Amino acid sequence: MSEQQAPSNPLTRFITDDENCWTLEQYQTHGGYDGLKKALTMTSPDVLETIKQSGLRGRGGAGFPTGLKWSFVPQGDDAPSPKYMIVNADEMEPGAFKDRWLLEKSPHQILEGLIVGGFTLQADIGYVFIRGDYYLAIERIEKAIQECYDAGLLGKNIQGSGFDYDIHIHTSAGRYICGEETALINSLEGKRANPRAKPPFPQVAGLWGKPTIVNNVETFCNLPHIINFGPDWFKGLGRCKDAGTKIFGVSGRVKTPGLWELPMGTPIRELIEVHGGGMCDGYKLKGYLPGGGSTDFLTEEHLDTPMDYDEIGKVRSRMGTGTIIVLDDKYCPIEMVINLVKFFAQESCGWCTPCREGLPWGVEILEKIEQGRGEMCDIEQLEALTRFAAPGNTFCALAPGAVEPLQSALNYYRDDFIKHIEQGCCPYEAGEHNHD
Amino acid sequence: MTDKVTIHIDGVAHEVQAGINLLQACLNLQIDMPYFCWHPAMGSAGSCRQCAVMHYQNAEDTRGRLVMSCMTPVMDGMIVSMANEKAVGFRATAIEAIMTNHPHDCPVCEEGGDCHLQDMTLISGHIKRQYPGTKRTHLNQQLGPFLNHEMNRCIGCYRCVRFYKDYCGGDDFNVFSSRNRIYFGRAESGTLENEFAGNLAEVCPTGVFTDKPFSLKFSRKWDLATSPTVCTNCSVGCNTYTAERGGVLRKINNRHNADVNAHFLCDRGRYGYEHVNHNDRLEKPWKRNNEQQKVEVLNASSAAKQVTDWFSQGDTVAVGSARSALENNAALLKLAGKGNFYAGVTDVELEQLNLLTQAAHNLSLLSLTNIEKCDALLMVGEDVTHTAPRLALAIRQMTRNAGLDKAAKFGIKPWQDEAVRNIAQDTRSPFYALNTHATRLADVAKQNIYLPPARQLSLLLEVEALLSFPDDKDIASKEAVAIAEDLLAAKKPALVTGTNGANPQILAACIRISTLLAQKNENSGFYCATGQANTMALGILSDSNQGLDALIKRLEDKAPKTLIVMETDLYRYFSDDVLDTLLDKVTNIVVLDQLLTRTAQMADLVLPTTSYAESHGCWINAEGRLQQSFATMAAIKARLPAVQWLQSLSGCHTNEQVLAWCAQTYSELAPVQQLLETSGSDFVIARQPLRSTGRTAINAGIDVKEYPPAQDLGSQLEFSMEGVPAFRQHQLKEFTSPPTGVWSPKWNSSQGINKQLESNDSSNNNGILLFANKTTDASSNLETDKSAISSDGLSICPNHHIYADDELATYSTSIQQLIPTATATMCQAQADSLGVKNGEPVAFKGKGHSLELPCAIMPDVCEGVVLVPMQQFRQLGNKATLTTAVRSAS
Amino acid sequence: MPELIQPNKNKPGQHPIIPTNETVELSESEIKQINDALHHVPFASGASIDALKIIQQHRGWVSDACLKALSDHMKVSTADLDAVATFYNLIFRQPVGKVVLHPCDGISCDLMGGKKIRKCLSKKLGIGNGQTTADDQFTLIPLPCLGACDKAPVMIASEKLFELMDENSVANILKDLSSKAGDKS
Repeated sequence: MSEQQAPSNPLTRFITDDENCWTLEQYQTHGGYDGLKKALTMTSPDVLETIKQSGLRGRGGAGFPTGLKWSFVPQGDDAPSPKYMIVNADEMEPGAFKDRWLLEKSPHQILEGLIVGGFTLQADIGYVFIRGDYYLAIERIEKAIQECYDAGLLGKNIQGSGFDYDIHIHTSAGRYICGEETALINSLEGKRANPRAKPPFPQVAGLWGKPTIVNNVETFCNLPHIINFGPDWFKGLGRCKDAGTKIFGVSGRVKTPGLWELPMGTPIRELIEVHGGGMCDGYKLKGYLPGGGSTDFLTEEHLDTPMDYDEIGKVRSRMGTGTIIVLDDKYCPIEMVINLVKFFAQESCGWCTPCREGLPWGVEILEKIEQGRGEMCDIEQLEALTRFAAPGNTFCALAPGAVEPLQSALNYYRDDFIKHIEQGCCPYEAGEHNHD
Repeated sequence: MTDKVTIHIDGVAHEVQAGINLLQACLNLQIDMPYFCWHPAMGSAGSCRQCAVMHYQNAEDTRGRLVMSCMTPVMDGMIVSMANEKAVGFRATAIEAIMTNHPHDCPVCEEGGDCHLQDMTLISGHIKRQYPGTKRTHLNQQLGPFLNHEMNRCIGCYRCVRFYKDYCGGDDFNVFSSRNRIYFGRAESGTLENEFAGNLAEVCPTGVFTDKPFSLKFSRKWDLATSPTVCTNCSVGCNTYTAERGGVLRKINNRHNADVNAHFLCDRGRYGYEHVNHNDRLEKPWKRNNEQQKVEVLNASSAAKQVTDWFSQGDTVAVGSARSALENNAALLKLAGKGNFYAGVTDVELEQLNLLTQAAHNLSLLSLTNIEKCDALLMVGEDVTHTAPRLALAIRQMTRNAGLDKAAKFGIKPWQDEAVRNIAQDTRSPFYALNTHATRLADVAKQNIYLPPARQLSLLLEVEALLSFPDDKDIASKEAVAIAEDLLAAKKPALVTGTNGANPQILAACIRISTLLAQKNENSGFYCATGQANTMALGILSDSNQGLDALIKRLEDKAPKTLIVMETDLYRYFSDDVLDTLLDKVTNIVVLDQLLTRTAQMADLVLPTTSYAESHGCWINAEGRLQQSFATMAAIKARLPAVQWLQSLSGCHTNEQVLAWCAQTYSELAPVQQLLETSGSDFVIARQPLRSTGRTAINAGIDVKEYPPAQDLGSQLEFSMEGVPAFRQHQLKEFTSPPTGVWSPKWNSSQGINKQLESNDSSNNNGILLFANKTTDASSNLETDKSAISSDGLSICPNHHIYADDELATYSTSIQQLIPTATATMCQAQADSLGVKNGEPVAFKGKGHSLELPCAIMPDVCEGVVLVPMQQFRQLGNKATLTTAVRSAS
Repeated sequence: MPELIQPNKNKPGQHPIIPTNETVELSESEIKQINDALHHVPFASGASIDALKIIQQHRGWVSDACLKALSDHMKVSTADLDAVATFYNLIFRQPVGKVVLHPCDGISCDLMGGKKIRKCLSKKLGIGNGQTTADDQFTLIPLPCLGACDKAPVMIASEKLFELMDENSVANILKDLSSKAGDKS
């Protein structure tokens, strides 16, 4: 095991300009698989304890503490078998592009995390559930898995530890709802990706009725480093209560859109103005979705909010995937909401009423307003629909996520709605340009 | 018996059954909780979100949390509010959202007036449509003769697919596409293959799936007169509602009997009623006048007098019927005398019935509900999907028990349907299907064993031996060991067989095994599907060896002067070659029947009888459950129940008198006394629903005059809307007959039954079990004839078919469309050894009859067996032989 | 709401009256790949999605006849297979062109002019969403967020990601794809 300086950018230090930075060879020269090798010298409960202590929270959007989630998996000789460990790489959240980056540039980091996870819970089979449109990522993950088998990092008796583990890849047939862990499990079972009723939670009865863990790509990436450098190091990385780093991103009309690994708690202003380079010339900031398409709008006044789960929650939005979508002053906010709600309506699995019928209803009203046919009572109807699809009212989190941008737009951009209705047309240039 | 918990709904404390969900609890409490996706037999799905209520953590919690009552188990001390403003608002938006794409075509929709969606829309308070968009549309599919498909009406509750695919195991129906474009149907147009598809008409909360034959003679629910009836299409005795208008039977609906069919019927039962409306129905007494070569029409009294005259000349032989009520058979038997009464079934079937009735007191004969609760089951000798279809559906549910147990370990309740299925995956309770060929339950069987009857018997003997000596495994086959182990390990093992395989040896072995099992485990049980609706009554009434084969012998030996044949078509059992000459020897042939059968055509005197829909009567099902069926409509023309045609000869003028005679004469029928004692209250009961308008317009299409309603002297039921309406009947203890329909205030659709399930469970209307009391009667000889196991020749076995086998059901045009072509079915190896190819003729001989059938090669038929359709098998008898020159495939 | 038409979307209702009588046989390599997929799952139905994707990889789309052939091979009913096939965006139940163009219609692309790009594609090819050009070269199926938001607007076609598109680059990209499609056929 190579002794090395504890890094401040554990996830992205493997990502270099080198075309081959994704290979096993390159990965290992930067200390890749050290975390796994260290984990294999520990006992599984110790590894789990380390993960718990690190304070790692799921990076997929909900931010659930990873160690706690994993501790529900039954352990011991009479635990059901096989157990499954799944990387959710079905990135499809509007405005989220961080997982693709990790998948393409550092597939071994994900696999290492998946193997460490497998060892932690004594799982038997790992799956990479990857978005079908991510062709390059699929190719690299496939090659990386083969490299692992060739190097004795997968298969029987990994590195002489007595631990057996296989990893399969499943390329998704395309459905946003597959990002929901139980829908993903149904999809892996070759079924329609409807979310499942909970209980039972996947940790006790998931894939094929067996204990199953599903976590996001970025979550798994953190595991080897937590083992390698210890939970205290990990906790120390954050600029706030939340531990570790986070891949943040900014898209929209900013000068330098992109992705950066930064400490948890980095303020939004820093992300947009420093890393994103600020707004493009001629454009002003109108607002932004802090964590992808299913989070509430925030505005200028919230720019100094640190990006951490609780702080973002306090200003009534969500950290989500940590990828900010910036709305500029020339793009119609209603148009933006239509795009988002339409997407979620389109991606509804069709199981429960608020999502299946409520979202298209919302789109219908929004388009009516955007096209200048709106009435004042439509605003009330939209508000009623956001309450209808509120968290807890639906079978899964898709519809509640879908109405988050809508409900916050109704709050922050109410004037725009009223202007559309009063003027009988869209007052935005781009908006006007966009419909015919 | 069951645990109770207290829940608080809007400040009122209620005691409810523990372990159920809040929705079920509310319905039991008669609370009008709206819902769509839940179904009592299929559990909760949580998809429609219509049953939302506010749930409070404790008395201090004022905020509450919205929960779906169908997904929420009741807990002691639970505080919920249905009236909470947010909950009411949510339910109102939910129904409005559900209705955004619904076409509002109620006036032209056949569900209108009998529509759960209409009821729930009103209950949820949705009146004004605010959705501004256009509605999505779908193209419909042709789904075969039973169901219409109108997808535009779909509200996406998923009940149809959960019923068809999950509950019935059908694999040709599913949900397609996604979001608000979900589509329920087949991959492409075509007849729905599952035998229970017709239930979709009732399962669907709106008019996506509607009853197709009903469409041809449609009437609104409020214009239908309905009575509680018992299905006469097989021996299960499912409870049905038969509905009529203007003397035409319009449709059959399920009638909930918690012990028999509960919520579902098979398609033979649902659609096999058209014989009642058939053109071949006999209308008037006919007398053959041979001198003048013509048929005379008699009036009722001269027809009855003619029978009396002939009877008084002596030497009369009578044939009873397996498709006629107990009263008719008993009256006929009483007048003819036991020695002259022949049961309208084959000798072999009668032999089996006698085995069964004699052993029945010592076996616990299971109800279908009890079969569903079993945890290991061996099905022997026939595919009950074709002979007693509803039983097969119960067996399918039985296989789920191991999965339910597994889920229970995770704290999951049986009604948490999806969670149970996800945990259970393919975990199934052991079910073995031992038959000559693949059954329709093959997909859920632990093992499907295909053997010729002789080898089935030897396997059963091995199982029998293993039950007594479980350690003697080395002398038995693998299959026998597995079966015996599972039966012995089970908490509630069951053996299911039938008389339709026409093999008394196998039945005897099954009875012995069940008796052994019963000695080891008092929770074990037995079910033997019998031939027709009232075969069991014949089994109780008639002497052994007095079947139709015996009748033929008697006719051959010395033809009687008078032969009275009641509701049995002898030509179904014997070929023309045999019967024509024999019947010619009889001087006076009297046929009592509903329809102009081949036998009726040979009669000297034809007396038209009523169908089950026009007469009251008792039916004894395969488990010895005696159930009363009530006439739906008054008999018209000169039709009379056989009891009444025969009244002067039998001395019994009413059903009650016949039943009283039965109770005195037959120890098995002694419990019938209960019926006679409980009947008689001052109330009359309405068959028609209470109508506020158009009260007398019901016959306006026929005649402007208003005629008095027909009188029903045989029951408390009125052929009108006078009397206590259906929805009040179940609330009044005075009523001993089941309600005449399902109506509940605000619940016009038949799903109102779901508010009455708790009272139905403990209802007295579930029938009288004739074999409930254990006796110590010595049972008959059940020894296996050793020659039966050694026969190693070719076996000709019956190939049952749900739509082909029942005489009356085949009068339905919908059912006729699904009758397969008759073939001699065998496996490839068998065909090779016989030297026949697919489609080539195979010739058979038996009972003085010969016939040819084209060869059909099917996988999953055992070698050594050739299957012929039941109808042909009956005519050939079970000693049939192959006359095709066997060309050995060298 | 205007339909976002994708080839699989309206499938079940589309040809409901006339069942197909066509039959096809699966190729050896298809069968081999499908059997590999079946190897990984405890029940045949578990490999449904993989098998459908294998068929599509070989044939561009999944016809009714293919569905039947697959059903026979896997012992999973056509209804069950089609229930899955019609659920997912990337399984095509109607024929598509040699190249399927997936311009991104996610919000990040739209903020950067994605709508203009899609309109431009549509105009140049003379087809709407879900449609195929007369010469069977191109099918236009917009997909939601393709995960390259920093390079918006983007499009995927022939397994390749096209970044930072503008109206000028559309013509070149189409030309390029068109010649590649020509090579394939």
